Amino acid sequence: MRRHLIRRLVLILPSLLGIATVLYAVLALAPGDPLAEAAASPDLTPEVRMHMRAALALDDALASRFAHWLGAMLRGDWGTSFVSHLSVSALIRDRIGVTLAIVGASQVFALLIALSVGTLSAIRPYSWFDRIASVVALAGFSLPTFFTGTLLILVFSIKLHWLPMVYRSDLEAQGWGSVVDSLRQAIMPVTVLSIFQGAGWVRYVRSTVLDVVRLDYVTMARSKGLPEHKVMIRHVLRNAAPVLLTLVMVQMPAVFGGAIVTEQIFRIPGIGSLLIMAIMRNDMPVIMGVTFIFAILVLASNLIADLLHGALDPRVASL
Amino acid sequence: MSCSADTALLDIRGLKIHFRTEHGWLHAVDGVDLRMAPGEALCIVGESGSGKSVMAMSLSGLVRTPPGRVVGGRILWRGTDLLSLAPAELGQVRGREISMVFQEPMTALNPIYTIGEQIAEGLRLCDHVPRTQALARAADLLDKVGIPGASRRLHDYPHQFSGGMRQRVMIAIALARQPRLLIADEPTSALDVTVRAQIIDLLRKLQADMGMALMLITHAMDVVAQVAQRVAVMYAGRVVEAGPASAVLAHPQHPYTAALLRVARGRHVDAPPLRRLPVIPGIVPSLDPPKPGCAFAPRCGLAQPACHHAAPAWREVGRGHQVACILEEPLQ
Amino acid sequence: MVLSIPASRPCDTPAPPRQSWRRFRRHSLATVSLALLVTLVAIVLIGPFLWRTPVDDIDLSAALQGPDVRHPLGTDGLGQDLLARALHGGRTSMAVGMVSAAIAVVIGVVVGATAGFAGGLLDAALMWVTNLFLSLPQLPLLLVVIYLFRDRAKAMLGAEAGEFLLVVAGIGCFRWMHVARLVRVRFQALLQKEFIESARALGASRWRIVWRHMLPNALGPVIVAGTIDVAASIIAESTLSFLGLGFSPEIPSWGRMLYEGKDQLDVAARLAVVPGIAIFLTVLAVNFVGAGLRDALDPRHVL
Repeated sequence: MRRHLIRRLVLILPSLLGIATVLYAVLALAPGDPLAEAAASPDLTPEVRMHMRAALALDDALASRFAHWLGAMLRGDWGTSFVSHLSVSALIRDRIGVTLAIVGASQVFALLIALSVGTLSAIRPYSWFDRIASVVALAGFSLPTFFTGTLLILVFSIKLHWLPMVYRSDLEAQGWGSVVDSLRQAIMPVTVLSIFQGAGWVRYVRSTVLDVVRLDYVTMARSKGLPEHKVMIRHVLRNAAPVLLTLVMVQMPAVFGGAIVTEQIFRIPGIGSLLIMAIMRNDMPVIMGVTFIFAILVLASNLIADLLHGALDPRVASL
Repeated sequence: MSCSADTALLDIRGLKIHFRTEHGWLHAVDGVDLRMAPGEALCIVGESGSGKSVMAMSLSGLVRTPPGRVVGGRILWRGTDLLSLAPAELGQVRGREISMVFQEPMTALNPIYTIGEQIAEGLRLCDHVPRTQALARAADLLDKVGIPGASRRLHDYPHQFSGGMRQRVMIAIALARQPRLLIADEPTSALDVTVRAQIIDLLRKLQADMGMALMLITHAMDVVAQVAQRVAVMYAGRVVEAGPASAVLAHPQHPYTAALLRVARGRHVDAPPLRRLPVIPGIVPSLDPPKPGCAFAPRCGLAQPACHHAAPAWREVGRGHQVACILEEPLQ
Repeated sequence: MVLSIPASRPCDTPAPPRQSWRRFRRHSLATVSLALLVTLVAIVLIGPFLWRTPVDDIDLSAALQGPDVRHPLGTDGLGQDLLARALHGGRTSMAVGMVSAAIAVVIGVVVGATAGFAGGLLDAALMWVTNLFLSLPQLPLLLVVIYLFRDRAKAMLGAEAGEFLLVVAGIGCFRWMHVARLVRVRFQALLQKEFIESARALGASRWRIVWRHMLPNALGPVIVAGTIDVAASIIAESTLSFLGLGFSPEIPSWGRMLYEGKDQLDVAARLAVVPGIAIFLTVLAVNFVGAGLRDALDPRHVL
């Protein structure tokens, strides 16, 4: 198992390099030389600017410039925000918790929704439950998150005043009151994300479970006299899990994208809204840093999914 | 039939199973009567599409009921009609008293569990045998089915075994809870020729050792000769001939049986060289609602006009040997 | 197992076209959606010719008015007619959807077919690139690209065309991977089939084999994927506009309208609801049509 982990980590490196190259290429090819901008903020004094140019090796050859940049990125040395003059890594560190919490919670709920609805649909294919579930899932999947979010705000915040419209991350943990408050403000964004994700996954779960349920070893398990629910859990779901995990893995980039939108709608102070703010204010260092962090997050979640896959499917681990 | 109704282990009467498809209903099993005595080795012979596998699966309640449906008949197992049992009760019979070995060893084993776990699964989950005991029994079974280094191999995964070995593992799984009836559905069709005889031999030996009944489904006549005490020949969802193996193989009474034997002998290694391989002309009928008359009549070289009008009655032609054909004279 | 379709081997023979169309028609939801989609497209194409109110007629004195005869859907924050904006916005959004999907499909088919057919090192390299694109953080990168290249694109190709091409290329660049994988798997399966071998034995050139024998067989899943891509691209464009990085205010699109409307929810909710529902209905219709196509082309599916 450990060998598998090490091998996976090693395989991540080329991907990381590739992504970094793409990011760097975009920045380097962009008009206006954003990389130089990062070092050439008008607020800085000429000496500091020159110093930064040297530090970023902006006048050297392309390869060494890239190496320098990559080194800085990996070290977490993302410079200072033009606008707030705080270090970019500090900004990100303050906000990443919220983003991860919302994304994490919504993924869990989405998975629960999709697994239950999808499996039930697959057990009784073409039944009325199945047909209704498919239609509802497709409808849910056609509702863009910003629309659902906007609607929810309209109904629950503006008309009914049940749920708060603005997210406050400074609610301190003191007693039940603030826990309830924290939950109340998380309900809408998490709901919006889970519905969209879950609806998309219901179809995948259904077709995967349907495929597995037809397989010979499931009939074999039944022929041993195992009760149906044990067959479903031990043989169908356990075997469907690796496939589903792969599908989840492929969607990871989109999940983080969805978080950006949700943070905008509900004004959640996470790294998604940080990125949008930075773009609006032309804050290059922050843009670079946040984009890089997103890339790392996607790779990290792929790695975790890969490891889980190896844990669940012995054929993979022994490759 | 071989034994009387009261002593029979398995007594199938008039079983009919239909399947719903896009084009209508298929009559997969169209009125099957069959009896098995305890400890008996019965071979069910027929081509693909004869309904033999569906019938076998219905004994364990494994026919998928959305497309399939039992529309008639009874399956009496030691006196109780299995079709009248609730799913939970049927679950008690399945695996414990009746177990199955399937055709495709490559796909019938779950790739994510060790074979030890798969053999022990029934014991642990249904009989509540403790883990160590169950695994010890699994090792015993592996030994019995002829897998060397049994206790080591308990912890291996299916993909680490060859096809023939996997089939042996399947047999071990089927034997785990000491069933009274083992159904083997074409257990050797997916295996290499060299391995086939070994598996059949293993089944024969196990059946004798454990005194259990064996229902072996096959389309190969040489397997029948090797194993069977009794034979039942199926065509288009019905049994057309049944009797002691020696009698049926030596003196087949149904043209279809005779044709099958001709084909088998023509392919046999010791057969005299032929200019043309014997074939049965025509194709197996689709299982749409059958037309009146004998199902085999369109392909039968000896068909009479009457054969196309009325299904032939079941009649006795020797001791325990019955046939559904109107031809009176024994065939050559 | 007998009389159930073996799922151990994937059913890789696609259903013939006419049968597929018949099966599609039996899928009532999909047929209704197709009708809905055609209606929506017609409205959006012909509408602006029938409803002549200009899109950018800014009239601040008439801002945020409710529906009346002159403005059936009311006006927005700048006094512009909402109905006109919705119609023109529909054109933009749908155009983006279709062109992006087309780009994604073309790139995907080329990459997938090459990888599947060539195999070996080329296949490995192309797959590595595909996986790389799949691991990229899509939305952040798209936002950054548009932010960085928007002015240059407008300068080079003119305001409207530049923005359109940039958005469409950006969205398309993140959707080709799924198509490529589909086509590659299909091609790999087809290469095993005997009719390909026999074509080769008969001396058919590689190009001919690919063009005449393999591509038509891979068409089914590509069509389905393309349909889903249209829906996803419309949502993507709306998302971009919603975040402020899609089209400029002069070019209405449904996403843009939502962006402008989200701050007026308490005053004039319809500014957000109208484009939202439009997007929802269009995407829903496309998704249902796609689902219907998928089921019609999959011979295993029982209707």
